[in-house]
Amino acid sequence: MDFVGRREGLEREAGFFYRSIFGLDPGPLLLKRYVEAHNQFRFNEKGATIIQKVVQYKLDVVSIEYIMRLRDKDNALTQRFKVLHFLAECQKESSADFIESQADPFRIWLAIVWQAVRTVRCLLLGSYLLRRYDLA
Amino acid sequence: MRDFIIVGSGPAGAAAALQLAGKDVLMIDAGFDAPGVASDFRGSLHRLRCTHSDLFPHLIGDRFESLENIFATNKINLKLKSPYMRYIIEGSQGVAPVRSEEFHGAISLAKGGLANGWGGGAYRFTDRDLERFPISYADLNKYYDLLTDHIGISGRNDDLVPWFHFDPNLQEPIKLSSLAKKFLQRYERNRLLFVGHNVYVGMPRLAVLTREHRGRAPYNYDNLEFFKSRNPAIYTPAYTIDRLIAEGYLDYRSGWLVESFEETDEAVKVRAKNLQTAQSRTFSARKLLLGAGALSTARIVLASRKDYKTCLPVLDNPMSCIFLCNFTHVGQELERSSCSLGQLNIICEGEPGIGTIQITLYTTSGPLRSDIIFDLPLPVVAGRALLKHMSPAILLAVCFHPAAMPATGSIRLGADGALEIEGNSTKLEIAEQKLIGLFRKIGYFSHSSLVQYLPFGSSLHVAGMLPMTERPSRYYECDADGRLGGDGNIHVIDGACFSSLPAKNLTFTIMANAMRIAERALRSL
Repeated sequence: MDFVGRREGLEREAGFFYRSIFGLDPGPLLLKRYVEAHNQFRFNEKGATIIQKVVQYKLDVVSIEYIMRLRDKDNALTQRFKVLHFLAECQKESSADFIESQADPFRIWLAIVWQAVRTVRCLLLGSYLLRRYDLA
Repeated sequence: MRDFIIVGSGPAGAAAALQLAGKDVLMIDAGFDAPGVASDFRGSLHRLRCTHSDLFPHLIGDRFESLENIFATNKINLKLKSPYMRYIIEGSQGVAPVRSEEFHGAISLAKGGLANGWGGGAYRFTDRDLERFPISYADLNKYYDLLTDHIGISGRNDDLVPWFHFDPNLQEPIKLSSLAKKFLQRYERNRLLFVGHNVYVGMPRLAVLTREHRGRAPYNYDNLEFFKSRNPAIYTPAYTIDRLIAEGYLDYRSGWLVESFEETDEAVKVRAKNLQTAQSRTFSARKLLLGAGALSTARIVLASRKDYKTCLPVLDNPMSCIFLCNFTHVGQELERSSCSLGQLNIICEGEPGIGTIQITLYTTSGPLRSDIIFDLPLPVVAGRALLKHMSPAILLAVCFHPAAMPATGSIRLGADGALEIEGNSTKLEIAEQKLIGLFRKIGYFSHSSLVQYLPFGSSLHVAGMLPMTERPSRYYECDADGRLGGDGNIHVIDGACFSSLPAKNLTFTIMANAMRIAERALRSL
């Protein structure tokens, strides 16, 4: 793949992952840094085809990453998720995703219960998708 | 020819230089200095995160320094990985390489050594801690007092005095987070329960100022300990070195890496390599004080004898981390003014086969959330949300276990100059189980599945390669004066000469012992 094609592919991948994790589009600076991080480090290439499939079919990547991380904490998808998280955490617009700034115990307990339900969903869906698309 | 050459500017070298101030001393050091910090990276971490549009250069680094752990097998300590802290371990793998699958420790070539990134724990060893040493508390007491005056130690004479000693010169302890304050209050209400389990809680002794001391400002609760070194309130040996240089008491040569020494009847000759030009040079002195840091000191000693066969012991405090949650704090706003320093100390006594263990409680407000999220057994979105909502309710209990001979680790010098380190951290679960049960009774919950046992070397408390003994039986042991082989003019002054490792930060005792050895060396000059 040529340089431009590779960059565009990484940006597309980052955009899809970011939307799945944070629910909105990433800014251009974050995309640029995501690509630079790929130039800087050697990512686990064993999972490159899995990632291609996940992006191509727009699968529930959060569930898939969860199951893959439970099996191997240094898998290719988790590495990419980690990079995105670190990059996002440095930006002011993401601070609300990481830091609690309002004391509201009721809302927060509800959110925690919702995340517990979501964890069960991820566990089931992730296992299914890995089998269905032969991603293991 | 000089009277003394001191190798290294870490806690040992700085303390020895302080003791020998005004004498004919040359300090040889790699001496990497702290980088300048951008002017817009000021104020508290909380405020910066909420107001600064882009903290990438400060938290991650333009060379993506903070992301290296994602791809590394041997992870860098969280306190050493960010861009402004990286100088502490920068370059060491190039000129002083370590080869190991299991070892997660670090070597520093920075002025001030690894203590540029320490947590400030300044603990006196008791006679029980020194049981295996050929010295007693009485031998160190005077130097502990001198250092307390020199550094400024905060803390309190509380229930932990039997383990930390009474000290009338302590500054007020640091302000506790509301979560730690509640923990202490509940301990005080349930003291009998804790004491019945041989568990005691109190304030940590920290080399952190809570009021001005010798021109250094008190701690400002900016909570940047993971991202910025040289906070004037938090002591680093570099302050002592800078002061001694400024006052004309120390001839300091940075940019030199000591490779070996040779002892003759007249002098000790030290061979060092210039890190810029790669040229070698020999320095001579009547006495040599080796304080390059335990691993580097061991390397120099082995290289001086061209010994590529002998395995030396390595002691390391086994470590574990327990996440504790107080559910009544879930949903509270994150405290804006906080710190990543130790909040409370807990002593757990008398577990059979384990000995005394020490626990330090920390808040989780210091490191990046991304450093923790992926360790949680949850989908990333749930992990992030949970950490966000529950951070104000979580304390991290870091447990240090003692280590004694026979050591669980060993080092050998490879023919290519790399240190080969082997070892494993023993997993001791009994104390952790007991503590989880006890903490639950005061409303701080955890589960054994949430306990993390850290790999060998993670504590960065590495020692014991050239241990002090009453009568050294071989060259690789020191006498009570730190003299290698019990004879001659080579004194080991850093953690390499420790005979055991109690479950305490050893830095303060390295300093006191280095001062003691320096004074003994001066007398025998």
